[in-house]
Amino acid sequence: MKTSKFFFVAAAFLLLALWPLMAGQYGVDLVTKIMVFAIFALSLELLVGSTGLVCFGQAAFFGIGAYATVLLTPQDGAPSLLWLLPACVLAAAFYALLVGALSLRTKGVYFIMVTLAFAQMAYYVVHDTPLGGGTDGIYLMAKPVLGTLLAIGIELYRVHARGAMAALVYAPIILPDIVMAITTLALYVTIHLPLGRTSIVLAHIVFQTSFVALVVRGRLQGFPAGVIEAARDLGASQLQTLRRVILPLLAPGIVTAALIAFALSIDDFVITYFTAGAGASTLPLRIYSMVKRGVTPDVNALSTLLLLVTVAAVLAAGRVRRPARATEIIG
Amino acid sequence: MDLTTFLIQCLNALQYGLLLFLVASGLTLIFGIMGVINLAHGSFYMIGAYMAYALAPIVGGTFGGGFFATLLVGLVLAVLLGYVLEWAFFSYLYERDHLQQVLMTYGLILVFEELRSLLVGDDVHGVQAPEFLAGTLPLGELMTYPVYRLFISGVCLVLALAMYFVFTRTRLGMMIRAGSSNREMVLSLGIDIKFLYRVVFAAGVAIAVLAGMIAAPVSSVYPGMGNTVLIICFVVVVIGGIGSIRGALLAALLIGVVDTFGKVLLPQASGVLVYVLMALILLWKPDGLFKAG
Repeated sequence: MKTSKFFFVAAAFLLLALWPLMAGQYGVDLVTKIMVFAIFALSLELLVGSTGLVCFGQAAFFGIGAYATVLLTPQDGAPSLLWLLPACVLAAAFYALLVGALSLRTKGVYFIMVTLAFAQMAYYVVHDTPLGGGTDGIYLMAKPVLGTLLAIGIELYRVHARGAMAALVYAPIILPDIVMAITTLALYVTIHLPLGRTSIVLAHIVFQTSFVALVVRGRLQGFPAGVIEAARDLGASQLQTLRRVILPLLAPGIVTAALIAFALSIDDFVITYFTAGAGASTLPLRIYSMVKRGVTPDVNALSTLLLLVTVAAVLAAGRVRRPARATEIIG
Repeated sequence: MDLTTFLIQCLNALQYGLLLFLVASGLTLIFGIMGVINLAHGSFYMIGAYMAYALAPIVGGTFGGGFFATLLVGLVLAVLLGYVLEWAFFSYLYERDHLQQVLMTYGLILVFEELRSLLVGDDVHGVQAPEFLAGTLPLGELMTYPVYRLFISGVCLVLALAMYFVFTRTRLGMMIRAGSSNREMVLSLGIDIKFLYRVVFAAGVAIAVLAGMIAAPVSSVYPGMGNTVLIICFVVVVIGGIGSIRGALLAALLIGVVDTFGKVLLPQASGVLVYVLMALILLWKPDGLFKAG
């Protein structure tokens, strides 16, 4: 019985995955809509079916998610789903937290009425107030941390297929830049991501992640593993250990990685050249287009400045490389 | 805000509050006595408003017209509708849980809205106030106040008093109150509780329809008006406490004041104010101001 159920689910997912190849635009749209409402129905099932709370204001959360998506989308280019999705979920969850705290003070039929009334309130909030001006998401800052987490994951925790994962992560370093650039561009074209600032940032994140992971992992090789076990023994949670023990010990490595990533990012030409669209450009691209018309004093000045910045970055990196001792953090 | 404006807004708040009370009292009555949450209650209000629009020419053709004749015909139809609905649907809901009641009555909303669309259409209509009530009263030197709004307040007050009288002073009221607290005991005393429930339900429907009919000249008649009223009525019931007529009256007046003065003083936030009020009351008294029983 269990295996037949599994096969049914697997077949359904396979069919859904193949559907875009068979169906036209209308069919894809229809199934997408069905899936969206299936997720929505699932959310109600979680509440009514599992907890027995008959929530009549579920539509408000649906609406808030939709509004947040529109409001959070930046003016230029498509946003990344990677942050947009959690942000919108959080927006709706925040409203649910407020409303839930109040609604759950009531029971039964009261609860039905109160949730419906609060849904109406959400309607009035978006309907009557001028909620204009979207908020731009800033996710460049997350770049080094993303790589750091990856290295910690590979080195310290038992990850399935650790070797394969490491190979995958370091692939962008081993591969020639031109291969990276062309494959990234091909991916963008396939998923219809418009070329612009977003596409450059995403491409940079992908290849920088590898370098950051490499540097941080190198630091982790000589990492006192006992410190983590000690922290866990003393009752620190997984998250606490990461925040209070691992990250402080790794801080110099992370800063170095960030500086290297910065240096690599600022002088990268090939990948940027392929993934840049109209209206978005980086300094090397700009210099290249200037040089095509002859070497002007501007180019000389810019190159000098670039050199100075890079030298300063390297010097700064040298200063922070002194490793912190485990005892400094514990003591 | 000068004194005259303040007075006018007070009268408006009173009229809106009393009208809300009329609709909410039917809701709280049906819930308090029969334990059924009736989402279709707003639809009865909507039906009433559309009756005021659609019945007037028909009644005018047959009985020679008149505002009160239309009201009377509407009320008779409402009692019939309530009686039939109770017999056909609601009598099966008393022993069911809230989810089934909500699904059933929500289905009724859809049916009523679709019927409304088929029979009358989706247009917004205005309804004329009767001529003898169409005048205005002078207030101060410049302002006037329409007589019809005073008439609404008057009707609501009379009905509220009548309900209070029926519930506390008559034998019927006593039987209804007894039925709400112990169904089996009342049944064993030889009182036909099924019939009693049917009467209460029909009365609840009739009150909502009447509220819709007399409100139509002020609010105009539009699709979806029932749902707006229903949600505000929920707020009234939540603030006032379920099953409490007294609480419903107080809460309805409170909402009338907050909504009316909110529209004058804070137009941007007026839609939200009522719900904020509800949130505050929930923080303070989760069971409402007057909990019955």
